[in-house]
Amino acid sequence: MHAILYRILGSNQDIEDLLQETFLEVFRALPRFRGESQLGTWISCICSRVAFNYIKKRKPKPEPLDEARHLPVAAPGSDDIVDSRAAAVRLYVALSKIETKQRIAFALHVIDGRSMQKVADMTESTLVATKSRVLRARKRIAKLATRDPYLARYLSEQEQTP
Amino acid sequence: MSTFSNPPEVEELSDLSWKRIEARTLDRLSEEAMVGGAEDETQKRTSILWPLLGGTALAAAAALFVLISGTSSDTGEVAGGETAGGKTAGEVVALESLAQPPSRENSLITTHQEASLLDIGPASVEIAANSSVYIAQHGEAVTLILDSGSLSIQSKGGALIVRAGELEIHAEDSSFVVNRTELGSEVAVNQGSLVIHQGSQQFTLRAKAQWPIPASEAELAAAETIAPSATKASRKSPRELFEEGQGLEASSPRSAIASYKKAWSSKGPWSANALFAHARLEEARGNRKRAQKLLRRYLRVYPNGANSQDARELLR
Repeated sequence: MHAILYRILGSNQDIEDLLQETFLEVFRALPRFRGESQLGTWISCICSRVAFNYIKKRKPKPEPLDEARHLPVAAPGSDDIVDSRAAAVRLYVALSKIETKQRIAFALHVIDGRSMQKVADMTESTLVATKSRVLRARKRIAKLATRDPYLARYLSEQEQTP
Repeated sequence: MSTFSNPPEVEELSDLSWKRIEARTLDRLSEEAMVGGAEDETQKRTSILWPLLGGTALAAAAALFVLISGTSSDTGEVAGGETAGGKTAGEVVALESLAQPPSRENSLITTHQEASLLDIGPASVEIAANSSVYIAQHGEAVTLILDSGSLSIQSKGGALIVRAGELEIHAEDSSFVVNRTELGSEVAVNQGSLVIHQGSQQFTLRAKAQWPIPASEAELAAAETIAPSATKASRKSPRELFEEGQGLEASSPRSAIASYKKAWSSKGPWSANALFAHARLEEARGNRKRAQKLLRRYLRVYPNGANSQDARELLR
C-alpha cells in the first residue's frame, strides 16, 4: 500500500494519514468483499481511490513550469549523471500538472512498471481507458519536458538504461 | 518509452511512522465499533481490535496484524480500545512484572450481542456476548484481564495468565471457562490442568474440576453499592447512567466509572457528558495518563462538545 501511494504521490508527505485512511477503508469494506478479485487487487483499488481523492482535494499549487529551473539538479561536476532523486522531484512536479487519472495511470504503469491490465484493475477502469490515459499522460509529460531539459534528459535515460 | 528502467526508489517509512499509523488506525476502528455498537440494538457488533474473519478477509486482517506484531513495544506506551489516540492500540504491551498488574490501558475487547473468537498466540479465546476483556502481551506471554462476562479458553502451550477479580489463573495446555460477575469469579476446567492463585494461596485445578471463588471483601462492598441498580443497568438510558455515576462518585468512584463507561459507549448527548465526566474523575483520582487518553478521545469524537474547552484546558 505504501509503495502504491508513494508512486502516485512521489513523496512520503501526508502518507501516514493516507495509509491510515486506506487501512480504515479496507476494514470498513471488508464485510462487503466477495472475493470477485484477489484480495491484494481489491486493496490496491482502495489505495488508488484514496490517492485519487487526496489529489483532487488538495489545492493545486500555482507553480509555473519556469520554476522548474529552481528545482534540485545534480551536483556540479556531475552533468553527465542525472541525480535520480532530483529528477524524481521534477517529474512529480510535472505530474502534478496533468489530470489526476492520467497521473495515476502514468505513475503505476510507466514509473512503477505494472501492466496496463493491472493498472486498469487497480483504478477500476477498462483496459482501453487506461491505455488512453497513459498515452495522454506521456504526451503531456513529454511536452512539459521540452521546457525542462533536466527532466527531458532523465526521461530519455529511463528509456536507455537497461 | 514503455516503463522506467530505473524508477526512483520508494523512500521507506520509519518504524515510528508505522507505529503511529497502526495506533491511529486501531484507535479509530475501536471508536467506530464502540459508537456503532450502541447505536443500533438490532445490529450485532463486536468491538474487536483484531478482526478474526474467515478466508480471504483474514488475509487483510493478518496484514495489519503482521504490521502490529512486527513493531516493537520499546516505548512501553500502551493503549487500547477505550483509550484515546497517539498510542499503540491493540498492541503488545510491556508487562513490568506480575507483581505489578498490567495497566488497564491495554487492548480492550468488548462484545455486545455476539460472542467473538480470538486467536492470540498461546490461546484461542471465545469471548462470550456482553463481555469485556483486556489483553496484554509481553514477549510470548499473554495476560487476559477479564473485566466482566465470560471467556472460554483453549490454551495451546504458551504462557497464558488470566485474571478475573482477585483470581489469577496460570494455564498451559488446558481448556477452561472463566466467568466473572460482580459477585465473584468462577472457573471450570474441561481439559488439562491449571494453577489458580488467590492472594497468597495457590491451587491446582484439574480436568472436570470447578472453582467457585467467593468475592473478596472489596468486591462484595462494590457489589453492594451497585447491586440495587445492577439488574436495571442494561435498561438504563445514558442519562440515567450518567446521573447514577454522578451520585456514586463520592462513595464509590469505581462504580461511578462503570456507570460512566456504560453511558458513553452509547450514542447521544449524554454519552459526551459521561465521557468527559469519566475523564475528569480519572484525573481527580490521579490517573493522569488514563484521563488524558479519555480527554483526547472526547476531543476527537466531540471536538466542539460542551466540555471541549475544559478538555483542552485539562490536557495542558
